[in-house]
Amino acid sequence: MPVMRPALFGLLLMFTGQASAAVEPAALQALERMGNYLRSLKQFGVEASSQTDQVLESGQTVEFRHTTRLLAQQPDKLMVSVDNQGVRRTLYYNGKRFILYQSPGPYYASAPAPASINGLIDLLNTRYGIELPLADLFRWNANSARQAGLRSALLIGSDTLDGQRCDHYALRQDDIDWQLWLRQGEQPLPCRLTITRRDIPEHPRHSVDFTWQLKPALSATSFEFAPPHGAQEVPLQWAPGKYSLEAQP
Amino acid sequence: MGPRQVQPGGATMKRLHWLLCGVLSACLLHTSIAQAWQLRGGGGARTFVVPHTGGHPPPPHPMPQPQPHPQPGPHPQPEPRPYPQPHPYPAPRPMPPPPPPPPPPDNWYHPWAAAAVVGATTATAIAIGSQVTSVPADCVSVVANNVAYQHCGPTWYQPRYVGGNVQFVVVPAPW
Repeated sequence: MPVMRPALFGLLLMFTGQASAAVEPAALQALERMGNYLRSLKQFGVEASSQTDQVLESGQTVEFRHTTRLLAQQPDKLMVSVDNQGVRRTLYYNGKRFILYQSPGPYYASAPAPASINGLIDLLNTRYGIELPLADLFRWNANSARQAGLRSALLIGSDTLDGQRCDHYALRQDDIDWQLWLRQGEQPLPCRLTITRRDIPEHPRHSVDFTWQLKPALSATSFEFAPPHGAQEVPLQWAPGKYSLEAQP
Repeated sequence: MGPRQVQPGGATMKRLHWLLCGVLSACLLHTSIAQAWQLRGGGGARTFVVPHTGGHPPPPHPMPQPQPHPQPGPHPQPEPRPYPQPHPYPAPRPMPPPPPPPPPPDNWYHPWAAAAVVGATTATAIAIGSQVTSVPADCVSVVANNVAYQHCGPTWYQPRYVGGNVQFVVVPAPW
């Protein structure tokens, strides 16, 4: 026992020492810079290719791949489509209404929308259980690091991704570990993002590679839904979001 | 003493074994109707970092509100009756087990739609209120009173968006 006690004490010191050193101010500043830069963009386009894990009843984990295209014009225009296995699901928002359309198929749904992209994100989430794809790009602001409850933020190194030099950060929250590659220089945009759940043993992971278009070609019809021939409007069912019902730290 | 204690245990094991076999084969039969794989509810990767509530207090729990369609849309739709109701159609075969309730709709990146049970055939009646992600190929698209349906033998489906996905809900016949 007399030998054990100093050993335990040493371990305790080690852990507490690690915990206090884990949030690097430079990493937080980089996140803040990214948030400020994203908030400063009046319009942008981004293409994101992603891999998303899903655990099956058997306990096996499988991966689903998607391509997301997003076009935004602040404050009140948005178009985002997600392609997977030959199906494209698109959301159009023209500042007055939003439309959901799954193609191929004749059915679309439509509902009144608030006057800003951020208002739309909240409405979709709370009333319809819809998490806007890539919503982090709109949610991230100067306070996000605190709101997200970061336990740890570290600079790991830098990589060249898709021809861009990007700093690699490792971050930790209560339920997730995430990694962010952030473009170096005057345009601190996300190059790549991975999110790993720690709250279930399979640790399913979502990873996204971003290709940015800061001068997208926009026209009057970019955010308008053109119903295909024979299209039929159908109801949009209210459905609560899973995470919106949970209290956040 | 020892062997006598083992005997009953062995018999119990044997019974358990047959029971397990029965359950397993029942499961196999069931999944052959539905799909070879099933999602585990809540087993999807998380796709966002910043919490939804963004620092605001979370919205009040909206479950008790019985309003599936908040927009005043021009959809005079027949409301699907609650689940375990005798349906008005003569079922030519025993009713298939109702599909499991869909996992939470994290609609864009989680294939919950693809994994729900697909309605077997047009010949089989399905309980009203059931929800499927696709209908059999021989269903007929019908518009009655400005409401879209898929008519499949004894079953009427109403297409609707749940999350970002089209779902088909079994409803009473419109006529």
